[in-house]
Amino acid sequence: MYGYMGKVLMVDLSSETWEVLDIDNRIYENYLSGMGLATYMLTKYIPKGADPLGEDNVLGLVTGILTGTGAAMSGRWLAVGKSPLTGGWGDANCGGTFAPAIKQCGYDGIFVRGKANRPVYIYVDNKFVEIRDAETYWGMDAVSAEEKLIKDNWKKKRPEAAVIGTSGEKISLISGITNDFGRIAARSGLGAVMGSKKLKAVVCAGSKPVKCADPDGMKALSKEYAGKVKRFNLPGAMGHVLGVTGWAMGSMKYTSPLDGMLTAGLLKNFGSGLNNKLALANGDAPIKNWKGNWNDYSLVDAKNMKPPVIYKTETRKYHCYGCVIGCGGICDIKKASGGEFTHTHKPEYETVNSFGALLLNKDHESILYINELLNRAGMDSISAGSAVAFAIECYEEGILTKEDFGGLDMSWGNSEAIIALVKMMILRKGIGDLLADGIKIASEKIGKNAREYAIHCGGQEAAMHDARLDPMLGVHFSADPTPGKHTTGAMLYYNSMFLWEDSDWAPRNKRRLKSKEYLPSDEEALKSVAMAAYKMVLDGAGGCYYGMITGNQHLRLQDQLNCATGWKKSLDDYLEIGKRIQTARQSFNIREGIDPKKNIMGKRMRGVPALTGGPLKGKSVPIEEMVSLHWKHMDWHHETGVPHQLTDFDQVDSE
Amino acid sequence: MKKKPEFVHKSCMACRVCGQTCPVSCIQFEDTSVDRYQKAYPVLTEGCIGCSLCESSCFYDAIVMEG
Repeated sequence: MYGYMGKVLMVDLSSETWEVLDIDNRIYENYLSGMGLATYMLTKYIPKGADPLGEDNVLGLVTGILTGTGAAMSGRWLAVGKSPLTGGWGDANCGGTFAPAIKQCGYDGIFVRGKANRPVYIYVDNKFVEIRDAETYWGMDAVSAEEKLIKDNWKKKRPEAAVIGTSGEKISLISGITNDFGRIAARSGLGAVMGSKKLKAVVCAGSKPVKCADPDGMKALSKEYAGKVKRFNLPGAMGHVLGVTGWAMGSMKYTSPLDGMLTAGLLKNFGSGLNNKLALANGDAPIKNWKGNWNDYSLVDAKNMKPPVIYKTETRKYHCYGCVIGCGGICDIKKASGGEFTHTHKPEYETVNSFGALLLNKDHESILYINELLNRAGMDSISAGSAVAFAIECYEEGILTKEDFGGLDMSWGNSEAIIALVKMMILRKGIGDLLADGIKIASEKIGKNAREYAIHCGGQEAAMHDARLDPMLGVHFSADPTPGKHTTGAMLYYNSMFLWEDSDWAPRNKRRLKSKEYLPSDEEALKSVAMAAYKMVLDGAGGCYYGMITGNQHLRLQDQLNCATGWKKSLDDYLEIGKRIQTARQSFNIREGIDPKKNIMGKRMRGVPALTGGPLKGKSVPIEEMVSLHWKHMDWHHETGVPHQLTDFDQVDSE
Repeated sequence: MKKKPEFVHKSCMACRVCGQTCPVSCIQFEDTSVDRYQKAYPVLTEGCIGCSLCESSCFYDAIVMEG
């Protein structure tokens, strides 16, 4: 058994028992590990119609096949479960050092069902599994709890821990699960699932090795990839001109494939924050709750968001496990937080925009502070920023009043009021209690016409990228079984991935007019299908999406997987597996009563009415036609999104 | 005398694989003086048992057992 451990741990918190489950090789060969293994486990062990916050929901923490094998860019883990935010498939991805720790305990995943009758944490090492009392840690923020858990459990090898903050404890439906002191698997509200089980943390202290079938081959692949990353450098001063670069990108009438290794140079310098001002300049960044443009928030207004300014206090950079790029960083925030905190993880682009342009907030120090508040609470910054934007628009429209906000002046861009509202959401006080469950639920409870201002896909707040610039992004916002995520696919990514070099069917991207991207076609749909399938393979491998963006011609994901496992599969074989995983996730949603059409992004996100200024002026996206073609090429019904052949794991088990 | 790891910064990718492999967690990522990015590179702290697992885990030939 190479690349995977062949076992998962299933813990039942109601009965305080656990068992080790052997997983058949066929599951790995047909669905990989990570996301694919999760489709098997969740479909099998979550009863149809289970309450996401009830005993029957199963929360999984899973790794991928490549993690621990020496493959470059392979240190990601996933939290999975039925999402309380969408009612369907939920997943959230995170890096740091937790992924290998799961495998070093001897498992490809740790799954938890039932509910404890008191706060507990799960401790796992090479030999033991224990359900331990967590009264001491309950009520602590995620960073403090993780520090104490590691200290309390450190024998020889330093353990790793996945933890919920106070938001998860308070069952906020936009809470996530953190590791490495504030990194967060944020999406899908899975922190609330963990909190509902009264599970504060999972601590892993194993040291088992992971076998690689062809270590020499893997070493050669990793060295070649790392060598390219190491050679590709850009000057730090580049950060000052990213706005101009974005403007130029946005102004060009043509789009063409681009070597993704270019992004490695930028990521080494700035992390995802490379996008902070660039995205505003090219139209990728939503402004003013998705209705604004440069007239509302100009590039001058965003001057403090450019990387050299907002990351001015960065004291060091760091890598996730197995990463050779290193996009992470630590910023000093003693000044920004008024002495409350010493440092924070460098805020990601998503956080910067959801608390910057989306709210017309020009105060970059407030974003550094909010970043740490949310990391410690364990709350999703995309959803939290979107909830604040929704609240401000409701205030602007007179649906909510100053009294509803406890006297706060919730005008656009008022950073002091934004911070105060975030704190109310974390504490679930006043209107914050409502917003802490996401904007779909909040808008339904507020009533009136609040729904018009709730920008989400199928219940989940959309990430900070605009489909009016990149329509394929809109397809994935709408068609992925976890709607609203930006990581499944976009034309920008596809342009850099060069899948056509190794696939017989993934269409080649050529230099062409951008306006043609707005025309739904079978070829465009095949690209979005190839993109989604590749991302599912990556999520089954434990791979990083920045590795994906540097291009498969460099990463060689199919070769990495073959070296890890000893298989001899082609990229097209793996893409077929990726489609299978995607269909299994969609089948889960269908079983749970999700109507895929209801996940399609709403009018404002698709440009109805169109913006009146900025780079996206006049643009709209024919999203329904594009999604329909995507479904068709996924072998799902083109009108309903229901797979022609629903995944039946009982049949797989009986074969 | 036990051999201990020496880190070859020219080859090191700061990928933290050695740190996660070390059975006694004596490799910490604290040296930010190596490159212009201020990336945190490995340093050896107390407690090394000389097992050389870090050396064999490194795919970039950035660890040499010395001593």
